[in-house]
Amino acid sequence: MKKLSFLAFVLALSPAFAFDWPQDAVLSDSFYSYFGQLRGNGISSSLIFSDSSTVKASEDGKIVTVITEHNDDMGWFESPLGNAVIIAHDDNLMTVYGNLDGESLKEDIFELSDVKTGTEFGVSGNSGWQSGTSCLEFQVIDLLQNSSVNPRVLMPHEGHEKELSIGSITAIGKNGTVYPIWNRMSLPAGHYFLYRSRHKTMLPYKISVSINGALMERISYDRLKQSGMRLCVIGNSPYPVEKVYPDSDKQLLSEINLSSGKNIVTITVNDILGAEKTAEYIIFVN
Amino acid sequence: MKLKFSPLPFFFAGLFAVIYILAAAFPLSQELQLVPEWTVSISQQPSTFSQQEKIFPFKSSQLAGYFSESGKIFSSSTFPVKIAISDSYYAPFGLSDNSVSVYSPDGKTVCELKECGFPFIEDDRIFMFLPGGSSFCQFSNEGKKLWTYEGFVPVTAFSSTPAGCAAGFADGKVLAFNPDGSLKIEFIPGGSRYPAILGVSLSSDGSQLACLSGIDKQRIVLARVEKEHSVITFYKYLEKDQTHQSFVKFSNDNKWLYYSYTGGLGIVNCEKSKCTELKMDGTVISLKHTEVPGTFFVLTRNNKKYNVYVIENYTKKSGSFSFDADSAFIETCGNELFVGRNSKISKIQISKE
Repeated sequence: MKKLSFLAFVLALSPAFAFDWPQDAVLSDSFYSYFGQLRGNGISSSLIFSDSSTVKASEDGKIVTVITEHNDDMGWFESPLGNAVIIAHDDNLMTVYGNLDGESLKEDIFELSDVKTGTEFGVSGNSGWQSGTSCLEFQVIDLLQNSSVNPRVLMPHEGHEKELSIGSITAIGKNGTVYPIWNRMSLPAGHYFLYRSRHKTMLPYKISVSINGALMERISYDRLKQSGMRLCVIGNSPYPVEKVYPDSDKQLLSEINLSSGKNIVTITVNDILGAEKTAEYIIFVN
Repeated sequence: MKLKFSPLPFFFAGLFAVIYILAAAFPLSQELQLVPEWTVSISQQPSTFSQQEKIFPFKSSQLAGYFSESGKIFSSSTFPVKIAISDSYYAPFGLSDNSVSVYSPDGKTVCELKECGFPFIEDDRIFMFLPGGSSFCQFSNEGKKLWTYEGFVPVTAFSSTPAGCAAGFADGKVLAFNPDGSLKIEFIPGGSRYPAILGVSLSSDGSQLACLSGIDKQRIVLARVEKEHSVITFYKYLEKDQTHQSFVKFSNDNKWLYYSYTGGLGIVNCEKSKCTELKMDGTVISLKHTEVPGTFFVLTRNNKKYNVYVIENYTKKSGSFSFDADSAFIETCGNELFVGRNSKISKIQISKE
């Protein structure tokens, strides 16, 4: 397994990826929900698949925990992962395979210890908390960097990405006033949170916002980190869910300061393969 | 022929007679008698709810409710998918619910938890485990969210007491929280090649924490909780690793610690830091105390076979019985034992004769 710190290098130069598929390969545009998406009332650290399939180890490792449902027992908490297998890998990475069907779990699942890439555990199914008809819930944890890693960074890519769009833009002022943004509009000077309309499934891998050519902020969905007792998206500062998704229709682009004069706000969104979409807004600030 | 007289046989015969007479003065140990007193069906027509009787929760397949010491079924209702139940509240829930209603044993709505996830109720403490399995929050019994912990490492063990709660994580970390949600301590037991917490327990006074942790040199660890850190007071490596979630629990007086190991129940005297292991068939899933200190019952499961063990003086296995079932539970009240088996609940009278 390659060192995580070389991931960018690996992605750029090598067709080989750190992890194999945790189930049958699917096209890149067919995931049920992306890492970093709004899920329930929190930020999701899972990549969620749409199609039920046999679930298998994505890399050699050691099974450290098997979580099971407790339908017949009292006094045990039920994990929203449902039936799940957790594997520790080299280089301080850990993978989680949740929402496995209880009936399909391998009979000797508690006897399994060292597993090889491709070792099967069962079939993804209905045991965890899921919205809609979603299947395998896959997570990658970097114990060294103490963060949750976007599994897609480490997995092979099949087919095309869903086409990104910038969406409609709004700015929310410090006092909570919401301003729909359009080109050549006027705004009072001040501090704003800039949002795009949220897509229900996918989201950009990287978002950057510049003003008059100067980069203001870049938010990356390659990993999530904790700040205190909150799970946060990392930009110029850690953003908890209420900042990233103030409601189910908005997704944070950047925190910006607009000063008097002509401001050219450039918004760029990238997918994981590097394809980008850019939009420019000229805003006159009083 | 001349017979030779030897006094030795007479000496030993006399010694045996004296020992026999002395031993006979002490009564033989009494045998434990387990006699079923009543058996009721949980699917029978429920009785009118009574505040006078002490009630106990039950859960079996797709039926859950409450029964009394006298064998009355006070409520028995089907739940479509899953249910969280304690002696104070119950909450049926589904796999995609965006909110969960909480009811009192008499069926009245207590509150609504406006949050996605799976609820967990222990006594009157209400928690919600959030989608992804790494975050959770606690609610008041009015349905107000009191505090939230958001993480990215799956919660693999959880324990709640009036002194707060403790969560164990797949990365080998234990976090203990005060009732107001503030962090009490962060504890990393270590000692194993692959850290993971399989079971955790916080003592009812919050002064001790125990966990079963690690793969490749798995161990049970007991720690004393101090102001901002913890001190390991006892640990023991287990012979065989287990990867399933494991039973860990303190006795009511917090002087003893019980844990499940492959092949039985471990019992730690917390004051003397001494450990005893009792071999049992199956995996420990429940342990219930009686009012006699040191006497308790243990329920274990081995596939469809359940075993109930009677333990006396904390470390002596006095008896056991087993049965086949799809689901089972045990409950105690005073010195009485209740055993749930599929759709039946029995009261077992315990006596010594």
